[in-house]
Amino acid sequence: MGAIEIVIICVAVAVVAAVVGVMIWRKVRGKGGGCGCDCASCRGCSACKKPVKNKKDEAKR
Amino acid sequence: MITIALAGNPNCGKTTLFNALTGATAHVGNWPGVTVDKREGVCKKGDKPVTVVDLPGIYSLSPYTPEEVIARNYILDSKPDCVINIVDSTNLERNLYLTTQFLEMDVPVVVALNMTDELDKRGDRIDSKLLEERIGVPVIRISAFTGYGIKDLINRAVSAASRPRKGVSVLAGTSISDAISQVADRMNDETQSPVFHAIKLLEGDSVERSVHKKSASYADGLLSEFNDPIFGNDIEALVANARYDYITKNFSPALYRKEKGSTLTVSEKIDRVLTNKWAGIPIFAAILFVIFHLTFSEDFLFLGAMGVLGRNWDAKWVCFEGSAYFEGLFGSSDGIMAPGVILANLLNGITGAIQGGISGGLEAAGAAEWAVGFVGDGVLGGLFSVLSFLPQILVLFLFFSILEDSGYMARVAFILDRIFRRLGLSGRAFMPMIMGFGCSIPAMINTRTLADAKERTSTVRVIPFFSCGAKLPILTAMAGGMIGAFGVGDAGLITFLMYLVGMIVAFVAIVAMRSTTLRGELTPFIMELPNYRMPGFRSTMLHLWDKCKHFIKKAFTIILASTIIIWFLSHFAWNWTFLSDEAMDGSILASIGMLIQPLFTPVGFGAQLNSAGWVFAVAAITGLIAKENVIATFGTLAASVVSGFALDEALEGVDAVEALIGATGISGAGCIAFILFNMLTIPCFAAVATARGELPKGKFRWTLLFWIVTSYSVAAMIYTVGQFVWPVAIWIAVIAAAATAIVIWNKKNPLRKEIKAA
Repeated sequence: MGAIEIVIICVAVAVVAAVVGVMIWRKVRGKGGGCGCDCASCRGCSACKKPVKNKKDEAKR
Repeated sequence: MITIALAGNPNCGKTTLFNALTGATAHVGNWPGVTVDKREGVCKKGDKPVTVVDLPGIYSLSPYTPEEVIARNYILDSKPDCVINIVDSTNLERNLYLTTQFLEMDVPVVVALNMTDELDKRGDRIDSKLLEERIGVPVIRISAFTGYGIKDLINRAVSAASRPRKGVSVLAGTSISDAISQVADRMNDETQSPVFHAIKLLEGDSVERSVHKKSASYADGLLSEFNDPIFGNDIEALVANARYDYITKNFSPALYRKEKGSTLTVSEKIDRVLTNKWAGIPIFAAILFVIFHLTFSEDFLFLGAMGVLGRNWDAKWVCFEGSAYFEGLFGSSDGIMAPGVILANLLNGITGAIQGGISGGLEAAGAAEWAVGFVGDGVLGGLFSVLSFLPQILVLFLFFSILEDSGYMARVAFILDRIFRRLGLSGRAFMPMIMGFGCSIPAMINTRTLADAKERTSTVRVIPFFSCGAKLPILTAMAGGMIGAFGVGDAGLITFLMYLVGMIVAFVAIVAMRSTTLRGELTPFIMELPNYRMPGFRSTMLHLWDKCKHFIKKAFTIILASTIIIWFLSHFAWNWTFLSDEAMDGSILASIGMLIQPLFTPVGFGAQLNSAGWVFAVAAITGLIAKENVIATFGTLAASVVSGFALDEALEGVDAVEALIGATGISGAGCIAFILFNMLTIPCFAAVATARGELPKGKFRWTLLFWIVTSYSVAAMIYTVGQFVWPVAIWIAVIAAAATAIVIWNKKNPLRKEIKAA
């Protein structure tokens, strides 16, 4: 396997890991839409029923 | 940091002002009820930064609607430093009704006279100095649309925020004023804004009564002896009348109206045609058809079909005949392309050139064959398949945005109310449905404006049937692919008909739900029709930019990751050995696809297809993550699946679908069934999560089942009838049996009788 193939594999793995990681992080932290949708129209409102870790997070929101 | 709340009547320009103050791009529409929840931003336009909170539009501070509850609770509980009450200058008296209620609160208030530019155009004038004198709080002339007066407004609001203000009532001197004073005096130590709470208690406000129980009993004692000569003890009516009387006597003198020759305004004259009882709906259908034609048709104005173009029109320079990437840019031998298609062809040509260039570059650099296939055909093929539809999405939403901003969509809700009431919904439900053409998520959230829970549930369930922007690539690519493969039809017409079928299914489903499981009384539909306005360039561009940004972001995140995973799963076997394109039937993805493929046999893309048919089953499943994934899946797999196809050109979007139709042997009826299944089935993950949040408890699982059953039934009906014709008798019998069952059910239902009697 040459250098080009290794670079392609690394980039592909990084892209998938980043997208899946961000989705999970958003879901857990309740950023954006909370549902992880990142919809352009999302206003981070109560509709998403965001999961919150503790009262501090709730207060921040 | 100082917090300033923006409050006012629906459609008075709160969100336009919020956007102007904070630089946000929140959705603005020329119809009441766009904003259903509060949102925050920071304004740096004044001398110091302030937090600005945009509240939903309200007519009063009584807790009749969810919006009124949100606005009232925010002002009373969060205690902003100042409230900017936005008043529509063109409708002064009615807007000041809410102002009289803000004046009763212990909060600094600044009145912003918005839309003064429209007022000037009409030739009317408001003496803001006189109004300020009479109201007793600062009154500033602004135009949120042009930005006039905004800096002055924010500085006056910051200045007002530093001076505490006690609430005063305009009801002094009325028969109820003594009772108000007595209750307010009693509540003085108990709460802030005693005047406001006292009036609400006397009005019988349910929220106030539950919070201030002792004062409520005291108010009841006073009211037991109260009897107004005109209103008796109907305090709400008395208070409303007193407020309007006060406004007419004290505030209206500040308004100078120009004497008008005609009694009808321009908006009223236009409405005589557009909201005509008989012409209103055909005009709406015609406008929709024209929009779809301009966006999708490959035979603009049907010039080719009518033979207007002549024999030699398809000259090389028009059709780019022989061009590697731009062939058919402006037209083909069948006709001229509509503007939306020309833009799509242009982007297709550019992405095709990029794809070809990168693949060629990798080959020249000596990359392995799989690496070239992965990057060129797999990742870029899938990604560009989706991106190639961006121009058409933007053109379609440009037209929708113009219709919405002009105020026409509010009229459509009004003209459809008559039909909607027969279906069991109010015309108000039309606005979230129309929003569903953009994205199901804000549309589902907007259903909060519907007062009845059952009406809300049925509306949330049918919103995904109004094809969102993400489903547009499926419709367009399948329509284009069908024309290429079967040589029939017009892409614009097919797309328009698919949208229409989605709407018809939604209406039929509403009738079924409102007649059976979600029966309920209808709430009256009262909506203020906004004036027709010329859509602003900035707000239209903001709408489009929002859509464009969202689409591109999604393409380079979820779609890109999906194409990588799909390619990986389609080129590796369960024992982790790499497979060539020819051996792809042994891949992980193919084996999963083949396993679920028989499920789709009744809907036309199952076992009846040949060995590559599993691609359709896989695409339907990947579409559950994001609907764009359906076409991304086709784009990723087309080049590998389709053997013997001319692979010297990039397989994206329409080309990929056309190639797959040829390779899998799917029929025309199967293609239509595939479109409908994807249009009507469970929407994307994000929309499902929103539906879960918006639906009442216990309705979510039934809603998932409803989406699956509806999509499967409609697709099966279309496929079987389209393929064999004779099952039409079976389907008619099924529909007739269902309709009879509903009629019998209703006859036994007393609620229906009550509604009819009413």
